[in-house]
Amino acid sequence: MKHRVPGSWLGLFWLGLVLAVSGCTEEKALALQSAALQYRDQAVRALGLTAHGLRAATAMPARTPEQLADKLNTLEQPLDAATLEFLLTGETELARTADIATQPLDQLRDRVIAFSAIFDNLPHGSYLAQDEVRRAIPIALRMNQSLLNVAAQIDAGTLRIADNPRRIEIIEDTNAARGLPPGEKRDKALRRAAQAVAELSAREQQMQREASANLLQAAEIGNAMIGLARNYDQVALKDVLNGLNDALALAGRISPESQSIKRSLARLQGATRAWEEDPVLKPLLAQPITRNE
Amino acid sequence: MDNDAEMLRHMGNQITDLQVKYRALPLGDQMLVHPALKQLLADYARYQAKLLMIGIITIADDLTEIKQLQQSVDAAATTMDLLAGIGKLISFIVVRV
Repeated sequence: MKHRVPGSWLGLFWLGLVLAVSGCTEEKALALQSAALQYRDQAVRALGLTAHGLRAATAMPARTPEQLADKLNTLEQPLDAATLEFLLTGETELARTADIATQPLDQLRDRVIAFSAIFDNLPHGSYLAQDEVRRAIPIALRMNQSLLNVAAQIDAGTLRIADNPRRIEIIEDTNAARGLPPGEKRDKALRRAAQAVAELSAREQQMQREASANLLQAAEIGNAMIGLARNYDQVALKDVLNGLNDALALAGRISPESQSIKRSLARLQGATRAWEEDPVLKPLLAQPITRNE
Repeated sequence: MDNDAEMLRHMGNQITDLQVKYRALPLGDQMLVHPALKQLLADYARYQAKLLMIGIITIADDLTEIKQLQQSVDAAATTMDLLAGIGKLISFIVVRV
């Protein structure tokens, strides 16, 4: 954060004049800082939900004590240290491979956290805070594009969210039921499997839509922040607060339903394109980003 | 559904089928297959990450090839068959990440 001290009383006079005209108050900066924190919290939550869904897409069901006993029963020799080690760590090692898939999401989460820190010192800043705010715009826009890209990929199916442990259980249970002799027990088991399929379908849709809706809610706040940052030197505190309230209201209306998600995604993608063409922002966006985004 | 999404769905389903077969193995055979399954899951995770970061254009021939691989997954009746099926899927994915 830059601190500039005017070198003369004339300078101070001009500073006062600038502050009065621009409405560059500590309260305004605090409002923007608060928005940055809300953006961070929402984006971190959304990316966490998405990463959870990605991990679940290749996860396996936890082994029950009964299943473990069955496996131990298949041992052809006495239990040794290597086999015990495998029992203790084998499943965890398989689950950890999903860390590779979530790396881009983890990196985006870290960038969002770093971005919100830009605003930490803003309320104590100088009348040049508006410069600091404007420099954050390209970073915010790029992050918002990334959040929207993740939401779009969930919608397109190129980011696979699935409840794989439940899928595996249904396959195993169904095949076990099919192995039963015809009769009431077999019929009941197959009906349970059918019910489980219906529940799984609803569950996976819910996982996908919850992640998408949360990503879009974060992008909605980000979009409002870009607008406020663009006009930071021209708007009053009241405008900043109203703008943020409007953004939170819009974000709150994004629900985990297919149509709401599609509409919000299209609207926010359109807003992002509009920012890219904005005559005020274009020169800023053309500059290389020097911050650690 | 676009080609990339369809590719991911085929890969995911084949991995699920292989995991079901892996879970059914005796403990000793699970230990034998575990490193290959771990490699497969890691390569799939790299594929998903690449798709997430830069996107991949899956061509129709790729889809034809992954569908053919399903046959070796379905036919895997022994531990060696299962290892071969996992190996084929690894070979398919690794050249695309």
